[in-house]
Amino acid sequence: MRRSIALAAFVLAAMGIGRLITDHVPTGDVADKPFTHAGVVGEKVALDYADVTVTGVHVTPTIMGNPASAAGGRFLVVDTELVATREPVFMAGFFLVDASDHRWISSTRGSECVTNAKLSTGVRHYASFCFDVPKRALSGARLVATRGMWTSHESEFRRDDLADVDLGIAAAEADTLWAGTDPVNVKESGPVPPAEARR
Amino acid sequence: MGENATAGRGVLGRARGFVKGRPASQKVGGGVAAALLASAPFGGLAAVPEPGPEPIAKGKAVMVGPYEVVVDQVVELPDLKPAVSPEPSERVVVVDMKVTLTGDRPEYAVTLTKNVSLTGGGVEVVDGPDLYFVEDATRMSNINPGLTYRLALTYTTSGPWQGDSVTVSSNLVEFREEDKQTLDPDAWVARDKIQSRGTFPLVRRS
Repeated sequence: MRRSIALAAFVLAAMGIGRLITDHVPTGDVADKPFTHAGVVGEKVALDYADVTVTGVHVTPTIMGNPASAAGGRFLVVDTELVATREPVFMAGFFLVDASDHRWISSTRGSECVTNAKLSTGVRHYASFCFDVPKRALSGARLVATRGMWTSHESEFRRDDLADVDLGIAAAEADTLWAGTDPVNVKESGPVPPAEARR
Repeated sequence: MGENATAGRGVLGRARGFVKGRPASQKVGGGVAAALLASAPFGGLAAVPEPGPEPIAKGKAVMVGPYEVVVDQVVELPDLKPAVSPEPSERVVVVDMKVTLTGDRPEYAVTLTKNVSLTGGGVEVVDGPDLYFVEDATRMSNINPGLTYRLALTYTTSGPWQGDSVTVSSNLVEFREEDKQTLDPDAWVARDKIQSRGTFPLVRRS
């Protein structure tokens, strides 16, 4: 009898501890979160599979002659240098995150703007990502680069390495950048450095 | 006969006494129930008819899931090069519209394209619908929030549209926060129900 009572108490205690763990330990968050590596413009961010460097940031109303979505709209263009460090890598996820944590997908408008990058091991790859954005997206914007493409529930890069690069746009600079009207001609994506690219 | 009348008066009397003994709230409830029952032959108990689809009209904003859509016109063309190049016997019907993604995240264009349909032309849709940015004919597969795009929703039809009007319909698209069956939370899901419908004159261009 005493043994049965002890066993029942043990089972109840185990269930209670289990409940405490599931209620108070953020197991879901831990299981879902990517491994974020923060960086800034001009600084290499070393991921498990590639090095990501943002080499330039531009704001323009026109890329390769194509206007932004709305009259007076702007593109935020992010130039990158990417190197696969261990094996060939396909990086499908390049998106912008603004200061309010809103997401923006890169646009293909502008013939050389790309949305992903196929990297050969050890070969430098140059690619520009163009984001058709409203003004409020500029201040505090960051480029997120990862292997999985962006989805509505961000499941494609769970538990993966992810570069989160601050593009260095302060709130005070947003107005000046937005007022700029110089067109940007994006260079062809690939192993040829932008300075040497024919187009 | 006299016995029956006496018995009837007895039953009525007992019923009257029973009703008199009830509290006022029960009397009111009983009265309402009796009135409803009496109105049954005239449709008092019939189900309330569901409201019809919301009208779509030129320049009027309607919601298709997260998208605010304003249809400006519907146009038929032999082609829409360089975006759409159909066979000579086919035609392209374009819904010329302005689209704004409300909300705070990008969405797939299919949430819009798969939920807008055209009827009334007596032709088959052999390709599409596809979505193009009007300014530069770029195909739109994703749309960012907060921007208004002028877009062409294109349908390649098997032949010329029969008639001078096009009915544009959109499905009900609802936000689903959680789905334990597909583990696909926070998604827009189309329902088998027409939410908006409107008829537009077909503009023909050669």
